[in-house]
Amino acid sequence: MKLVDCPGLGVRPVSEFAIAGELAPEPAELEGTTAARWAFERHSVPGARTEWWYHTPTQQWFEVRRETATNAILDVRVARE
Amino acid sequence: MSRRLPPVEGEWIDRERSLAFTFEGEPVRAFEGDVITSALLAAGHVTLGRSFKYHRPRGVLSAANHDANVLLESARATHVRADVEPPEAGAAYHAVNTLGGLRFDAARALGLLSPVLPVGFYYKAFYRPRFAFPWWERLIRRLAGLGRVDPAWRTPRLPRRHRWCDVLVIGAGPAGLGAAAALADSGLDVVLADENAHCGGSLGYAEPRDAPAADGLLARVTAAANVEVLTGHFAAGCYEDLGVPLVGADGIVHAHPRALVVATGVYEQPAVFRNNDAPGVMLASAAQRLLRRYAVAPCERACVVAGNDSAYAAALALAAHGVEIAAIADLDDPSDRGDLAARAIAAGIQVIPRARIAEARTRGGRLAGVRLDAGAGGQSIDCDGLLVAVGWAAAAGLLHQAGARLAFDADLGQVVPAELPAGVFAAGRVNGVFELAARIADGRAAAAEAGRHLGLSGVTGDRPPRDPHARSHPYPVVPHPRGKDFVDFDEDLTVRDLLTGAREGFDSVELLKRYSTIGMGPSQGKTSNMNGLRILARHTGRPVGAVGATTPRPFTHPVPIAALAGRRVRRCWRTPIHAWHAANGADLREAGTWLRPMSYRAGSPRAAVEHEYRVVRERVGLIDVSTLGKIEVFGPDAVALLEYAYTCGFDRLAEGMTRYVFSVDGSGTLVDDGIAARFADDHLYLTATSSHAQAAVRALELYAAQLALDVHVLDRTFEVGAVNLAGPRSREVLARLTSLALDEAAFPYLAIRSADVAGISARLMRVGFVGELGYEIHVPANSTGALWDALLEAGAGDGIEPFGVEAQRLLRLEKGHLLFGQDTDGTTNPFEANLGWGVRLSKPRFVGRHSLAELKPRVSRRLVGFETTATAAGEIRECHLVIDGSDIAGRVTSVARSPHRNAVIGLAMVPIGMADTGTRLGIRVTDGTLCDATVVDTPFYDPDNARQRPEATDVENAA
Amino acid sequence: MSTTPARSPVLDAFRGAPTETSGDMRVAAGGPAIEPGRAMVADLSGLSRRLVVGAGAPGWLESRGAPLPAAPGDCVETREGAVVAALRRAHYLLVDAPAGGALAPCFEATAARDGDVLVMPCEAAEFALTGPGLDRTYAELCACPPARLAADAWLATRFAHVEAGLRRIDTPAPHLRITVSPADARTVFDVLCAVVGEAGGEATTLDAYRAWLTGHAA
Repeated sequence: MKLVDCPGLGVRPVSEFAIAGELAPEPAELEGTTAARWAFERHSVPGARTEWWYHTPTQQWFEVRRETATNAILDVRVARE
Repeated sequence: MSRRLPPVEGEWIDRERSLAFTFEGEPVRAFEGDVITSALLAAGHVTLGRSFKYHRPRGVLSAANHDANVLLESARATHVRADVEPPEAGAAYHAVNTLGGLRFDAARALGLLSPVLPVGFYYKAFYRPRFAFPWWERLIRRLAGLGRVDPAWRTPRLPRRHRWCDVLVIGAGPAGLGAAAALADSGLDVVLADENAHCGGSLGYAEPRDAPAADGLLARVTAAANVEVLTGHFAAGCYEDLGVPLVGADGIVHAHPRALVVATGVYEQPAVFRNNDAPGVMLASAAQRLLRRYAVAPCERACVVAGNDSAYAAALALAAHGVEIAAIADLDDPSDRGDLAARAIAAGIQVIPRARIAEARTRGGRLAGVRLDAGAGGQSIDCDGLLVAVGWAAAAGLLHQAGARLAFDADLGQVVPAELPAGVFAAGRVNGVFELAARIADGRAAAAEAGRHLGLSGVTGDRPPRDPHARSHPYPVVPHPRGKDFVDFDEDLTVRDLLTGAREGFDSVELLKRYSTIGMGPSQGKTSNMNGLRILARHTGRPVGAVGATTPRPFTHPVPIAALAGRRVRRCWRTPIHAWHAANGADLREAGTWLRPMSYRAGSPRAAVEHEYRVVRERVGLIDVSTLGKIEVFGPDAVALLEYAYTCGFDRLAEGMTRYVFSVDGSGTLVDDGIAARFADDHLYLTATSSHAQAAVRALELYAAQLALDVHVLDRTFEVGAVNLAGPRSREVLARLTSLALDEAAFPYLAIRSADVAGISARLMRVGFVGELGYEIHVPANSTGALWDALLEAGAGDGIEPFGVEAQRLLRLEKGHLLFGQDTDGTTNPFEANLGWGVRLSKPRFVGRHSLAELKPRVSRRLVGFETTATAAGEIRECHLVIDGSDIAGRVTSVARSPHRNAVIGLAMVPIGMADTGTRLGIRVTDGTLCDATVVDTPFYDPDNARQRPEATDVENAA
Repeated sequence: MSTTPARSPVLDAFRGAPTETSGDMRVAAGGPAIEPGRAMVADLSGLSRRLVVGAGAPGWLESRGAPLPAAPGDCVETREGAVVAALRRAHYLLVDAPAGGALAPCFEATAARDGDVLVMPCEAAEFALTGPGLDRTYAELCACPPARLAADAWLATRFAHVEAGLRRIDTPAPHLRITVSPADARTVFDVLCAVVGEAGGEATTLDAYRAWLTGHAA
């Protein structure tokens, strides 16, 4: 069972989270790209990436920095702060 | 003929308590503490099972769950591992996989087919000729699988539990006990787990009883208050963050240690020679276990194959308990074996140096003797037991799963850990340390390292060196020209099978595993992978270490489904009115996680649905819509959040009014719809579809966080119950329960009001989802039942009745309203669903804006209404295809018989060229016939929305 | 104030039992007494609850004499056993004392918008789990490390596969108070009944819980 050490929550099992992946807000203007590219282009190159994880019992979003090659969690921040 | 010996010191059996069971119909007596296998052997049984493919007779191999020779079934269990499971009193055990019983298994004739059952048989059989497929399929289905499942079987519930600790030590042999003893009274919370019924590991069967190094070890561990000993639990795997499920007879203990000491030891390995699977041929450690744990003599006259010095220890132990040792056939020179060999020779045991076993002889399906090959004199020795002690394979699966890098140590002839992740430590034979005192010291050193990892310096101990000399013979394989030289006992694979596979090109270890199925049987290669690697290495001319190894995945041993299922909690959301529904004949079904009434008659027959439909169209009906998502949005940025989350504009949404809203994702695909109501500029209330409520809340919270908006999003879905009171008489019914002014001017269509209804503070919305005058009434969840009762009572004189989801679907379809997730899917955009009016592209920023701007001029299909009175129309179902010539043009998304139109109506997604009113559609129904339908305007019912203006129209005649 | 009482979400599970009105809720009554050494589950859904949300929530609470938890995830218990829990930023749950009245000023205010504060009824089910098997039951039904279950913590976690708020209370004997949504109430209550049933215990009612607390306070 994967464990996540969250600010304010302490160590929690991953089963308390809904994981949404990398998410960027839709910008007002697309600069240097097209709508299709913005909506669909993703890559899965291993490396560190920042994902959005939702803690369902407290209904809070966290930004989780994760090394996808090893599944190691590097950093967890409350998304609103 | 009893093989039970006089009491043996340290035996696990309790001779005061015995029990009876049957095996293949024959009565057997056992002692408490016996396993099924030991009781069977004590009673003189030798053949205990049949092999999977050729149905060859099999007996004990490891007596330790390292092989699957002895798999039984009983009324209670499908796969009983007789080597490790105690017999149940009164149980009737049978060997799995026989046709007509163990002794006369008719399927043993399959052995004669072995020349035509080559390696890769499945792939070859299903390659060509094609006409033979059904024949093969029938044959294989009849023969495949082990054991029969009783469908009436009721499993006991096996609760799981979590066990958080500082250190988990797996394996209570000398190394594990050494580690746990070192941590006794350290202040750390320690769990020591072992799969056996008792601690001690090889101390209990392979080491001298008076070994001074082990003195007091177990007593120290059991006396320590900070060490929990879990015997009878095996570590099924090592998962992320050191999660280790420990599986016991009463369920799984999920251990979550901060440091892990793996002292899992080694699996003894068989030698490969002709008839090496005959009942009577067993691993030397199996003989020792039977002898010292259960006081059972494994045979009367034994021959021993020696590839290391443990063979001599076994021979001496058996001889000491009266088993005749006919000979020890040493694969090498006994003078290299040291003290134990010298003692055996001094005891008068015949030792044959450099002896290779050419084959085992059998008589009546069991071992009768061995024949040595010509180089060793070619002599033949009669025996009923052949003990094999040629080497070991590290039980390193957990280390691998924990992330360790393992490497083959050629000197030791074994895999050892080369690099361990933080917090994981290995000790004992799995770490390549074999001398008893060294194993205990290795455990202590591992404990010291684990302590340091956790910031504890009080435990000290240095690593002893690994053994310098081989404990495993480099090639205990003697292929025989006539085969039956088994490498994998589970899958009946011989040397030739592996070589054929390698020659056919599957000469990498992972490919050969899948092609030949070596290591894929129930024992997962514990006794076959090592010899398979050696054979492949020799065939490809590479050292064993260069061949690689297959990945040892969980589970270590099979885990019963009942243990995985635990308490089997099935989360099921109940609405606040659930008890009423259940008591009033509702046809309750799961809709997502919710339980909802489909109608109020079992099975929801059409007549019941149409009755409920008529109640709403003609009088007044009541439906529980508590499953809707309900979201409170509160704060200065409330409107800004909704402007970003939804496609429409909110500037024209006045206080006290609601509007229909929907959302899309970044690609412009429809996601969810609902109602938005404005109480104030900083306070709005939203509904969302039942199945999407939680996702809708999450999305709003996400956007609020991403845009740093000052707003609170409150999920009120479970806290607010809701009912929809709908029908021409709904206003009269409601008026009896509230002082709120309900006339058109005071409470118009799409307005929202707060008022008490039946004394319960409520929010009321004028809605028209089902196409009639209607009120959606939201109240605190725990008061919804009271509201429901009050409405039914108030409407009794008007003929009020509850209606279910099926009637609601029919009502809304007549009104042409979409159901998200049914009429839309993961590719539908708003323009295709006729929702373009709800997209305001002029808004500066909202989710999906860029994609929707691209999609708007490119609409190629559209959701249309269709109608038909064709004879086959009743057969049209959702997802039936719309056919254009010979092409698939679209599909039906909703369909029902409309009482109002007296026709079958529906919605279908069709190409834009077929979307004009009056276009004829061909819909292919299940039996293949084409059904004619015509595209018609929607709504099918009350297109002018007159039903929402009861004052302006004569409601009885509006439709 | 409602004239029609609300109902406990698990009222139906106490078929045939007498009922009483606690606050505005109809709950089962007359359940067996809570005994030390016996596993019991009591339905505490009848306690009064409020949610107070918004930027002005701390001030709103303080002005009515309610104690304020320091940070989200904390909770403060009054001497009488009423609870103020900080669920998350500017989001407070109030649970009145079993004997009632400790947070009276907060409950007297109308559940409505009040400036930059939103005061709402909190619809929930709550259960008390008592008995010697408490730690084992927690270890079975909750995957969160038990160290989080401190006396002053409101532990928002998943319990019996359901989002729940947990409190551990040590007097008069260690017990768990488990708050779940009304929709999940029956799922969780059935699991807890099964758990205590396996230990030879049974379900009981809010009045029995009150009697247990007052009996020990006396």
